[in-house]
Amino acid sequence: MSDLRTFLQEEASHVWRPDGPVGLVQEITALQQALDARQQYPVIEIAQPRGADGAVGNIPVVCNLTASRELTARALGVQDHRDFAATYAQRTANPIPPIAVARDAAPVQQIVLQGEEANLFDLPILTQHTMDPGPYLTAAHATTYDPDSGVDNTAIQRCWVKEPRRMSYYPYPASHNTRNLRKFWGKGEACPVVFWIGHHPKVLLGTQAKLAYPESHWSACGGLLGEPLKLVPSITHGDKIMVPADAEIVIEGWAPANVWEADGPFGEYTGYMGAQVAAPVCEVTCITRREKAIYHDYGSGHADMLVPDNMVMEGKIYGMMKPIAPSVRRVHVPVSGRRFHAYVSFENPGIGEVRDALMAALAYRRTKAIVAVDDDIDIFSDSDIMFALATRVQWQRDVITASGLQGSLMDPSIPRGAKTVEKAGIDATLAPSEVPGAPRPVAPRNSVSQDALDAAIARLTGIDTKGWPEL
Amino acid sequence: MTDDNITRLRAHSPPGEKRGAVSWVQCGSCAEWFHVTEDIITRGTVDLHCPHCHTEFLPPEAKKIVLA
Repeated sequence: MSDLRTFLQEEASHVWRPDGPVGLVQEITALQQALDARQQYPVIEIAQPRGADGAVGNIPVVCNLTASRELTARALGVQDHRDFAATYAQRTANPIPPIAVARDAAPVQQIVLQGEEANLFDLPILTQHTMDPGPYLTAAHATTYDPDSGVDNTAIQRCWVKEPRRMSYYPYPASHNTRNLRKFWGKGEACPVVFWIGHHPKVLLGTQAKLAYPESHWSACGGLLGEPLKLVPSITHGDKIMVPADAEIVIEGWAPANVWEADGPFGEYTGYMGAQVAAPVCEVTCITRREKAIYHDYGSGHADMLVPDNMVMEGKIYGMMKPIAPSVRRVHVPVSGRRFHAYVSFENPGIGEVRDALMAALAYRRTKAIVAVDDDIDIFSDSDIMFALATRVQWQRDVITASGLQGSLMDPSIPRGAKTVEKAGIDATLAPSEVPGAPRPVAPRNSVSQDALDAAIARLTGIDTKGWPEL
Repeated sequence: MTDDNITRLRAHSPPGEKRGAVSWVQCGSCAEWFHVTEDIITRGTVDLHCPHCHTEFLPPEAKKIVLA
């Protein structure tokens, strides 16, 4: 069985528990920002979250759960994070359907709070950034269903908690949850919705699988778990919306038809504040949770949220490219590029193969620029990518650009009024050998012998280098 | 909705010139600025929420609106 607490046990030596109270208003996020700057990514567990009113709550906050590539890969049993893409693509291509369990076997329904008893402000909800207008749920997985097929959909959606039983939430306009919402609203009906929080990263990563519509994420979660995900009927919507039985917290309710409220500004994955938008609201009917629930928060725009989402993108891109280009080795969607950039390494690609692969992956809505390199380049090093761009690219020959494609309208660089984006694929591989057995017709890289390098490293070992000038 | 408080930026950019895509509202209460989508303005029925002073108001009550 895998849930949030089993993961915290598995990674117990990588969990940091700061002493004393830590404020929910920006203080926890500031810790993440400071750790990001130091390139250190422990899981953070705040036992004493302090609210804006100074009161210390008794539900702990966990964040940075998946800020580390190493920990996130290990959650799936992948020992080398660089191999994550292939494993994710393979496992989500082999889904395992979920199973239903009885309510008494569902820890998430140990406590059921309905009506006046349900109060969102009892949860330790963070206000992350300076211009956020209030506290936001950031790890709330919104589950709705398609009224035509009955098939559910799950996606992370930010929720601005405004009243004890009312919050706005923002399903991206192109999302499957928005399609479901509009179908209910088109009939003049409120849209049933639940938001669940807290589970093992295998389940969290499964919910981010990029699927067709309508297609449930539960089976992708099962593929990553290696066993069926346990679900239980929600209290409000019964088996119309099932929820993960081993989650920590569930918020149930309805989105009343055609009711819009202001939502945002909100600190986004782009690293910029997203604009205030008109968003649906959820009128909360019920909150269920474990007896000793743990509240999970994603630091929006920080490695905490970028790493798991980007690693899922790596799996998607690998799955799109590999059937077209067998020489694809690894994929990296770097935090430095938010979600816009992808680096892909190839092992001796045939002529035309790299460009075919670039064309395929540019169709993926989330990509904006994809850089293809040979496998002597470390795609997990931005510096190595810059080296390849500097020495292996002639811009007119090696760059494929395409405009009018679907992409993120949160990209701050898009032109005024644009509804689509411009993308680029960059072939930064070296020219291939044209004579069997002969070297590629390009200059070899500078190098020293391995013996000389080993000796140099040995000579430097143990020397106090503190204070030496940096680059 | 009257347009008295709205400035509309030029719709098109000459080739090679960068022009931003973000719309801004100046709160009628605290005079601070915050950014919004054009959609929430043109709906005309959704109260804007100033993230600085938390005043809620419809677009005609904004001090200024700059639509990109």
